[in-house]
Amino acid sequence: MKWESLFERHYKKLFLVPVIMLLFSLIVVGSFYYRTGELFERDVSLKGGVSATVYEGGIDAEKLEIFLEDRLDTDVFVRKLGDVASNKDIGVVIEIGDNVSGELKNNIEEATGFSLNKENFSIEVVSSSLGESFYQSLLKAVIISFVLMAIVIFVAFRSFIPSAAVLLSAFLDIVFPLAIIELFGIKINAAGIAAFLLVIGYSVDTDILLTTKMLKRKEGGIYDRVVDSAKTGLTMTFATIAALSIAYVITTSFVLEQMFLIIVIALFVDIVSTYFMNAGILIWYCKKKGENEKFWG
Amino acid sequence: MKSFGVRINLLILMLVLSLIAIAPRLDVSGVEIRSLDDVSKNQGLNIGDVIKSINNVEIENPEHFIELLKESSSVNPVRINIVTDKSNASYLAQDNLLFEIENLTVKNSKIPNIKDGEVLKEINNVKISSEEDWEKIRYNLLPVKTIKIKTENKEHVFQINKELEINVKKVSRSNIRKGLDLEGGTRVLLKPVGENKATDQDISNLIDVISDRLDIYGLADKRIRSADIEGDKLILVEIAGISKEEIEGFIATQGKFEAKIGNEIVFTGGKDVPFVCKDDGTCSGVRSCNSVDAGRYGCRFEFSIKLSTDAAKRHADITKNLEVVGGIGIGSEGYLSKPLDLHLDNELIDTLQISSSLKGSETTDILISGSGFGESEETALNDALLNMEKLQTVLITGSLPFQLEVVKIDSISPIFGEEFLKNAILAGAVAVVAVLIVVFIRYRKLKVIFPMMITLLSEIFIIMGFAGLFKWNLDLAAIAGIIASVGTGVDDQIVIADEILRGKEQIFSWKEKLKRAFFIIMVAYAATLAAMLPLIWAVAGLLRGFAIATIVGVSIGVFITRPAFGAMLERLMNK
Repeated sequence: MKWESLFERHYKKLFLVPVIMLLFSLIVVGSFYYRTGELFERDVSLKGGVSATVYEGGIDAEKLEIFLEDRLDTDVFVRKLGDVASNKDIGVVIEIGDNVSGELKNNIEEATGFSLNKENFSIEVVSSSLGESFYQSLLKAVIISFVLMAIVIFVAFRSFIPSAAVLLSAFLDIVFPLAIIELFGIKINAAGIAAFLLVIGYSVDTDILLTTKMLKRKEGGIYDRVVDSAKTGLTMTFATIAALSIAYVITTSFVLEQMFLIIVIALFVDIVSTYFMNAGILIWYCKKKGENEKFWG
Repeated sequence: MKSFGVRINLLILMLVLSLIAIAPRLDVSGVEIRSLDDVSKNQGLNIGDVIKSINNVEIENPEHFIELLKESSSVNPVRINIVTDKSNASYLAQDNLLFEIENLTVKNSKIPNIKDGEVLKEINNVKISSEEDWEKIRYNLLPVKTIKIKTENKEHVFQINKELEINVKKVSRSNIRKGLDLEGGTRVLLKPVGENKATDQDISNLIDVISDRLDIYGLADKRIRSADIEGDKLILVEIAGISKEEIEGFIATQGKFEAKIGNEIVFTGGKDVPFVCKDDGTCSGVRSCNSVDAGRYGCRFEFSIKLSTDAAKRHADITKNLEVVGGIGIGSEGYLSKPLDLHLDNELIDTLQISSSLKGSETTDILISGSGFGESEETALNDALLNMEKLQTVLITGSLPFQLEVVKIDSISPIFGEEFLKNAILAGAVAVVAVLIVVFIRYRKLKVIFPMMITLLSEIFIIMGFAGLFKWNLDLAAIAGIIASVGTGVDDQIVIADEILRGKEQIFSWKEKLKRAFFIIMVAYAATLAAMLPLIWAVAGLLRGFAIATIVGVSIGVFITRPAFGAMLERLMNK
């Protein structure tokens, strides 16, 4: 009974946490949009340019960056590629916003002394028009996903406020990780956006569980039902967090790494959005409905 | 006989079907053919065949195969001594005699001392006095080797006079095809640019031509499909095991070939050229290499083609009005006043003088030539071979109806692809263990953990079964999708477990409990499906693997493995 009474006493204060988080993320994303005219910083796959990977250990990333910037006369970003499992230095990733694929290989060879071939060198070249199309296409996909998901939720629960609460919770699960990613200065790639779609799927799981228990079940009081659903829901969320954060640490692939990072952040946010926000809204909704029905008094 | 009940039996059935679909191969010795040349194709070897041994030496791996093939199919040049009525020569020949014989008269000679029109008298100390003499010896002049290639099902023994070109890879362990980012290779996204927008028909024509070109080029391990992005029609080409440089220039070349005299087109690639000599040393090959400048070499290649009668008629019409120049000395032939210019994509690649004897004639036999350059003789030779292959390819396939722009090109190292795969499998395995630990902490009952583990592993296995059945390419994104769908699987199993374990004091029947759990699961399923569907079509389908893996994964979970999980748990808990 301890958790139930704690929740009963404090749910209004707890509601402030997601509200502050929502405001915070809107400010971060909004100011980013104001400064750059973009929702987030895109990587080569969504903006166009060259991303090259050299699989040779012992390359000085900083030196290479300066050398390439000097030679190619454009902004170059070089980062190290490490294997966490074996703690090995396995190579470097070079990202350039301009299309300089022709000169790049020779310049890297000159700077590092390695001879690059199809075994130790990978390259991705994206024209800027295609990057832009990809970006538009993925943004559309996210919006369509959200709308389709909303339709599913409204059809399943057939009442406005509980359904809207699920959507608001999903929205926070997307926008807060986005703000964090922006603050870290991480560039989002195509797979990263796909991760946001997965977040939509994961986010609504716990909300559906909560809403079903609170609206469709009759056993126990409303606070019992919140705590009951939280026991199940938190197990779900922590199981997924455990799985994905370990996968995040292990993986050497940037595609997977960014996906896992976004989902893990979103899952932590989901705990707040589900049990502090969605639950709060549902408690208020149940009470109001009860008053109307002269049942809860 | 005790039955497990419908739900568990269905799961067992699906597992068996998946095993059949994946078809794991236990014996992975030898190498699998990825592409091959005409010589070995004609001997009945096919792409996908597994080669076990060459000349009775067992093949260990692809590198070993390359070494072995070179060793057992390379032919050493032999010395040829030739005597004609006017002169004699001694030279080395490998896959080409460097001359042809018609009525015992030398034709198309490339031997410095021997001129066309001389009469053959003696070769390798054998007197030639009749056609029969020549026929008897001609096939024994060049060196040949016998090679024995043993595949899984058959032994192929045949004779060769030049090195075989067979490209192989490790034998696949199962029907599951790895995507480009796990196998290594190059992916090109092409956009047709023209005055009119490309229609679906244009795209399908383009795909046919590109596919033919890659076939001729010996790149059979490829995937080509159309891809729409934001209203633009694009073509996606993926070729395994090849680097960016090897393919970039070639694939996007429109390949508009024109042979012109003055401003008049005599013939173009494709329709006008019913036959192109390729991979046959007697009528195609690099003929000479010279140093052209300090530190610069040039090599010339030649190959013969046949013109259609229409094109030959055009040739006759155009040449009959030309004047003959040169050829004043006795025995030296003159040339026509205008040469034949060969253009590829509006660039002049070679100029051929036309012999005066061809004036106004409807000739169908034409010798095409060109050159390649490089800093050493070897690079010049390679450049010439590459240019020759390109030219042969565009002459065979004709030009593309559109110019193509490379809008995206990715080239992935095969070594790293393998590392990625191992790493992703490790990540997935550790993730499963992590889930089980969290669940154990919550329930502290092996009766829950055990069925959950079976369910999770079955889900992964059945997704792989689907991948094998539908020949998906399992790429990194698809692995992410599998991990993601296993993640939602865990969610659902926890919902089921909680409903079932919810104290005995409650009066709900098992059926009721599961029904309640399944409302939550079905709504969550529909929401995930809704979220993933748009991704099938977005970004030209590049994330399709991810979307499909997730959708298939959650569907299998909802309809097959999780009901079975409910049944397993019910049985274990009722005991």
